[in-house]
Parts: sequence; structure tokens; C-alpha cells
Amino acid sequence: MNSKILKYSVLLLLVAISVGGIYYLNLPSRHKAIIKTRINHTFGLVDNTWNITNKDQTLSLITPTLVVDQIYKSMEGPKVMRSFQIDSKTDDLVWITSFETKAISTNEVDALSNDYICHTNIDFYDGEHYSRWNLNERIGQHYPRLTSMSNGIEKYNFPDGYGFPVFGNENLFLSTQTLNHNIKSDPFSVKHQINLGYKPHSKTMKPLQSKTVFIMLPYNTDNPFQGPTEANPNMCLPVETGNHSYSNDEGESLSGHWVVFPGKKRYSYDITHQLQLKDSTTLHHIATHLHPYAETLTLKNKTKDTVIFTSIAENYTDKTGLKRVSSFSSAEGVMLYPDHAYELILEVNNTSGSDQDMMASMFLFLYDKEMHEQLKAYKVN
Amino acid sequence: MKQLQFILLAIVLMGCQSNVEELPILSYKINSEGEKETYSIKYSNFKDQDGLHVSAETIQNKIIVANFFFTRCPSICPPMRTELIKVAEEFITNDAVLLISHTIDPKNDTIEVLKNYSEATAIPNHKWLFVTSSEENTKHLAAQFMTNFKPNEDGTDFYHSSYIALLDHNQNIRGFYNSLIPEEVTRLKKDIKTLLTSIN
Repeated sequence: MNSKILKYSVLLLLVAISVGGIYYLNLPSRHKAIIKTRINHTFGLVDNTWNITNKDQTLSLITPTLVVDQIYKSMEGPKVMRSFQIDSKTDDLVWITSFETKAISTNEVDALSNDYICHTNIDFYDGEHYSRWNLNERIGQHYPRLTSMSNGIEKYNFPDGYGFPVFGNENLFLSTQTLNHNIKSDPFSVKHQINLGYKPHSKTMKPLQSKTVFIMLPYNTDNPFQGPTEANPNMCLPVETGNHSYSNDEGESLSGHWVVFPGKKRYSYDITHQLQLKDSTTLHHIATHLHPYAETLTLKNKTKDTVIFTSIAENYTDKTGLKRVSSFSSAEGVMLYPDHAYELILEVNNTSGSDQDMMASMFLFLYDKEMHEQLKAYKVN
Repeated sequence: MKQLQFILLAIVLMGCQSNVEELPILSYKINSEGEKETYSIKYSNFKDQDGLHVSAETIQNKIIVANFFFTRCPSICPPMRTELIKVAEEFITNDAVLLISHTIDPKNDTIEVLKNYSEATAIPNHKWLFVTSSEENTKHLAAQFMTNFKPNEDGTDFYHSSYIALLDHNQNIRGFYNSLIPEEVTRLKKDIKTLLTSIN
């Protein structure tokens, strides 16, 4: 009897392992990376702890170890995420003024190539953030992304006198993902170090509000991976339809992460509805997120037919990756108007000879007059 | 020996106290005078799935896990519910932990509908309250929980947050957690355990 139970148990286990193995092998790289990272961290196969320090008005978060064991294109690599606070022990108001992400060795000292950074996103919880200042109508209006740093644009400061106000114990959320376009050798390990610079509250500081604008392209939901067609040459092939897919008011499906074919291509997209400007305001900083083989991303005022800023992406010539992506920063700012139309224009030159994936976003930091009014009345305890 | 036991107990209690303090009180707002004002959550005119009033007594000395939802929600509510079932199951035997889900669709989510929804979770009524009130009242409570909700333009869905709030036994908010992120749900469970040390 016992041997029968043992026999069936072993058989069941073998079937479960086989089914699980087949399921795993058929998963896309990004899902495999999630499983591998979860196993590594849950069982302590690699360092699974965060090292968080706060010194000299800089909050530093060093991630658990991330194992890079194959080529990982954008949005595919091992990633970690966690909530954090600038200083959970105080409710003092501070101003976030700078951001930095870098790849480091597992000894948490030696710098590694930033080629291993896909992106580092920092979000805030809009409920907590806006409710505290009695700006409840803003909750849920925009995705509450404070900023994103990515390969080629790993560090930036707001112009002097500007920042994003948060209380010390306010919840922020960090998500950071690895990238590996080139190294096919044995697995290796990296960590990411994220530094947020902040300043104590001062009445002279002016608040910025982040708005994300990005190119979305239509695709055929019946045949998402076929096209583009002669009738719709601007159609894209989404990388996958599960993420970064949206519907517009006409019910058309759009993707913000798509395939680019070898050669040159120009894409444009009207982003007026993404900006949702209520009033005229000034634009003070732009951080751009692009993928390799992008050459430029331009923010244009369509109404005035003027270029506000062209972000130039410098690609490596000897490997795949972005060496540098230029950003915009101005204390004086550029006026944006609610009755004007704006668009993003992307120029791509895919010299790889094979299909590549693409995203094109700008994180626009606008002067936040409504928040400034609340801050002017704020009394420090 | 007794002295040693006392010292050990004191060390344990001090350790617990320190952990609880690591969870800051987040229920504070800047009032019209520009001053920080801390508050505790207060219920008024809410009924649960059994038609019983939710009163100060209902939530007294409870660690509360709270969210906003509606039963016909096609998007984020089903995964939120799955995670909350797991939380309820983990603390099923601890009477100090109470889950409260507030409907944002009182027109459709009648007491009877909430009762059916509650039964489908297989979690006992006394562990997980599904509560309803007028829209105005619910909006007022949502503001206390530092969130809001509004119908989408096409009327098929509502905007509402995927965040869960955690209240201590004094009805102060001690944490916010995005229920759609597994790491955040793990943090929620850990923080519930931390808060439990303050009342056990």
C-alpha cells in the first residue's frame, strides 16, 4: 500500500515538474526573469536585502542582487521594486531636487557599466500626496510617476529653485530593471544604486508637477503582429499586447512599445490629450526615455509650429545601447498653453539589420501653480 | 530567575514598541490655516452586509485593512479581492484584525448584493465587512482614507484606487499598500503583525 502511494506520488511529482517545465520554457524572457529573480531572492541564493542610507540630504537605495544570465532587451530583465520614504521618522516637508541611478558591483562599491540599466521608475501615491494638500480632484487624473531614468539618461537635477515637495514619511515607490543588450557570456550579478537628492523646506522653492507624454501607435487587434499595411503605414507591431496597450476614444488599440524594422523611420503622435493642461504654465525640465536606435525625440508646439526641445540620442557604434540622451533644464522655463496642440516626433535609424523594440516618452516637469498656492500658506511646525 | 524573565520581557516589549514606531501616522492633512492636522478615521451611517450599523464600537481596538471597490468592477477589484482573501485567511483566527471594503456604487451594491459578494469570498462576516452608505457619505470617508473615486466618462466603470489602507487600533492610518503588487501585500501582512504587537 505504502509503495503504491510512493509510486503515485513520484509519478505525480514528475508530471507536475514536466508540465511546469514546459510552461516555463514557453514563457517570454521577461516572465522567466521574474520567476528566476523570485526564486533567487526567496531562497536567498543571492543577496536579497536592500541597503538604504540617508546621508547629506541624499537618500541612497541599493537593490538586492540581480542576476543577468542572458541577453535582456528593454523591459525584459530581472527587476525589483519596493516602497520607501525619504525619512519615515519625520513628517518634515522636503523637496526632491535630483535623481541618479547607476549599476554597481555586488560589493556595493565598484561602478559597473550603466548598460545594465533598463529603467528606474519612481512613483508617488497620488492619494496620499494630493489628499494631504486638499487637492483631491487630482487623484487618479494621471499615472503618478514622479520620474523615470533610463539607459543614456541616468542622472539629472531640477533647475535651481525647483523641486517636488514630499513629507519625510510620505510613500514613494521604486521599480528598477536590468538590461543586457550585448554580453552573452556566463551569468553575472549587478546591483542598482538609486540616489535621490533633497533639500529642506524653503519658502523660496517652487513646485514642479510631472506629466508623462509618450508616442502611441495604432495596431490591428485581430492581427497584432502583422503589418503595417499600405492603408495604415504608421501602424505598429506591438512587442506584446498585454502591457503598454491603450484604447483611444474611437476604440482603436494603440501600443506604446512597438517593433521597429531595419532602416530609417519617422513617427509622430499628438500628445495634447496626455498633457491635460488646465491653465498656461511653464515647462522647466524634460527627461527623455528612448530605446537603442532612436536618434531624436522632438517636442513640438503644433499650433505655433515651433520646436520646444529636441532630445538627441547618441548610440554606441560598437555595440547596442544608448551612450547619452540629452535633457532639457531651464529655470526660466518655456510657456505651454491649454489651447495649443503639442506633438512628439521620433526619428529612428535601426542599423542592426534585425527588428528592434522601441518606446519614446518624455517626462515633462511643469511649474505647479495650484500646489504653490497651498505651499505658500504652509506653516512649519 | 524572575528578574531575568522580567528583563527579557522588557527587551521584547521595547523591541516591539520600536517596530510600531517605524510605522508613521500618515493620517494628517494641511488645513486651511496651513497647519498640519492629525486625525483618526470616523464612520457615520454605514451598514454592513448584514444590515448592521458600523459604529465606533465595531472598529474599537481593531487593526483595520480597508479598501474601496464595487461588486460589478471588471478591472482591479477581482485581483484586489484575491489578495484580500489571502490577508483575511492569514489572520482568520485573530479577532483584532478586521477587513472593511467600502462600495463606491451604493445604487447597485445593495445590502443583499454585498451579502452575496461576501459569501462568495468564504470569509466569515465578522472578519470582513462589506459596507455601504450614500455616495456623499462614502466620498467623505474616502477623503479621510486619502483617496477618491469617480465614474469613468462612458459610465461602465469607476476610477478608484488599488491601494489598501491600514489603520491602527486608534483608527490612525499607518500604511498604504498597492494591492496589485505582491511585494506590497507582503509588506501589508508584515505591518499588520507589527501593529498587532501594540495591542496584544
